[in-house]
Amino acid sequence: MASSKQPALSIADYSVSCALGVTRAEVAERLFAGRSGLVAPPFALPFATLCGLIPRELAPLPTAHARFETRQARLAYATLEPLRPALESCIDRYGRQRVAVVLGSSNAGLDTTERTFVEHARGGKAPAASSLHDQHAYSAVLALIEALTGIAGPMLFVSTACSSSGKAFASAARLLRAGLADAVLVGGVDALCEMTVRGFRSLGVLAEAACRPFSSARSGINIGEGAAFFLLERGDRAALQLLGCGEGADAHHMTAPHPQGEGAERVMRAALEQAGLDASQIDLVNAHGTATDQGDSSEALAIARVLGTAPVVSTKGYTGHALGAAGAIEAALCLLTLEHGIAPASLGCGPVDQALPIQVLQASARGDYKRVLSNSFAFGGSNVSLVLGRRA
Amino acid sequence: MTGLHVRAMAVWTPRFPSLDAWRARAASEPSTPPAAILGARARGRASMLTRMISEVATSAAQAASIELGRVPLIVGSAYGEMETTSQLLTMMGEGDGTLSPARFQSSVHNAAAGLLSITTGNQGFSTCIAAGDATAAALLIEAQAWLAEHGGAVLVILAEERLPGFFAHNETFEPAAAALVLSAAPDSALAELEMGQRVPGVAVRAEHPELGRTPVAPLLALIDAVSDAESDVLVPAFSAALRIVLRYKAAP
Repeated sequence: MASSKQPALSIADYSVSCALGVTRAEVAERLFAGRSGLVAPPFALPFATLCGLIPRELAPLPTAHARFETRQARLAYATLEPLRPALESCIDRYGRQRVAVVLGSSNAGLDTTERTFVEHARGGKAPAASSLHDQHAYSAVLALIEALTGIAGPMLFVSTACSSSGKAFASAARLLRAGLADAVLVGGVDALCEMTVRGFRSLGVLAEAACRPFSSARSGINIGEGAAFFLLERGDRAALQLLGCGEGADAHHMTAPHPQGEGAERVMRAALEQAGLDASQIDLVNAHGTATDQGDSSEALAIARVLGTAPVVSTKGYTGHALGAAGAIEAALCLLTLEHGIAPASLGCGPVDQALPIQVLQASARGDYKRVLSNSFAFGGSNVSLVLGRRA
Repeated sequence: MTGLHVRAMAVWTPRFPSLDAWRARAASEPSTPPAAILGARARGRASMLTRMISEVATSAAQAASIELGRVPLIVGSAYGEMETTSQLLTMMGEGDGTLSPARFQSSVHNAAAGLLSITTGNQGFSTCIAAGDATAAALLIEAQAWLAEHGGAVLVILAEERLPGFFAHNETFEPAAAALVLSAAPDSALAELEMGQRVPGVAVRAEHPELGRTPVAPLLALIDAVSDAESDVLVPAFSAALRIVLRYKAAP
């Protein structure tokens, strides 16, 4: 995986919606106060768990675009709105065809498909015909964004399960460096689906209460939802920057990570190399940290080998695991740390598992945070690591 | 700008189960993909989509004499693992809605890419893409950007399996998979692709007379264009079309 240093890219603006809130200010307030967004699931289940639900009702799509209605589309719409002025300015500067869209998602419009399908199967009324193109498929949200903004450059979803939106950053960065676009709307979006909650339960890795990443009492994942969008451009004009991405595969097992975290180690080293940084220059690690027994332990071993004693936070205890949107949401949380000079407490980590050779941040901490590394790992052994920074 | 050089191509459909059969339009009785690389156990559990992807990956890599365990992999599908998703939806509607963990882990868009990576020991780059009818265009752009930075070769695959019944009112099409090995260097290339201008307002449908309205159609059209030494082809890119100009080395 040869990857030499690459120039930093500018993050002109960003927005985030997750269990902590739907504005950057709201998310930052709850994140730095250590307040979890995990709540009871919105559908009936034959087992206990908590979910990271958006804490507000999501506004319906404008009438002209009603054919795209899904929770997924509403999340994308709500998260796009705050970026509209910066996006308009990009379109004015570069032209519609020079602005691209690269988003990550695991679920696409499954939230609506599963509702209509299961209501029908459980003997209810015949479902309204849900549309393959306008609702179920990944491209529905791309067509919605095209209709809302007039963007006419390359548009695609990356879908590699839980590494999707981390990998969207890497893909967007390549488009910019190759000159195939001048600005990219990059990020991720995934609405909560009953199928994924039940799916993780079937794998035996769903927590019954709030998840506890890196704790000796950890017992699995909470599923979350949300979206985060960023405007990425070449150059280093913006204070917030994408410094490096590393991508690779475990080539080990469909759902279990390599026990020593070798795949995780490779992508972290690749991200540092692309950023042109030494391990000592990373001020904070936002871990994948989903609170599964194996996942946390293999990631901790990898972090310890690559980054030594850099403080480590998992934010899954605030947001749950938002699957394909997790990488983007956590990138936004990292940018909040860089802007506010506060690292959040790794919620739920006490008592920290003493067998893990890392420094888990047990309380929020003020500091001069300049560079943060963020990991996302997925089914199929798909791994990605991002390095985000703030200009000194 | 890096050119994209086509080093090898592969096609698999139930009635045209090889590139040669596809080019000759020599239809045979419908079959299933051998997908020998997966091994009996994994193959038995694999969906049609995963088997088709494995099959064209193997054929294309073989035709280009590259190792599947080393080549970067860019996999596209507009709809993904629909058969498996449909099985999970059925399980959700029955009894207390318990799901099969084996089905659940195989329902993700990167199920085939993950399985191939594990089977061949490929620890390098792979990605999975979806962009509706524009999936073929998105794969070529992703390949172009990757090759501009890393050089070498990439294996690009596009596949769709049959849609489950509850979506049949939207579309029906034949399953199909197509693959290209693309390289930055022109060595032994069948053709050079130049990604041309986007042509706004020209709506190209992803549709093929043999297969129906499948998102694989634009990649098959490109394979047909290379086979017939045509000079350009239009592929759908949302409300625009992407013009791809094809060049061939002059005969020696």
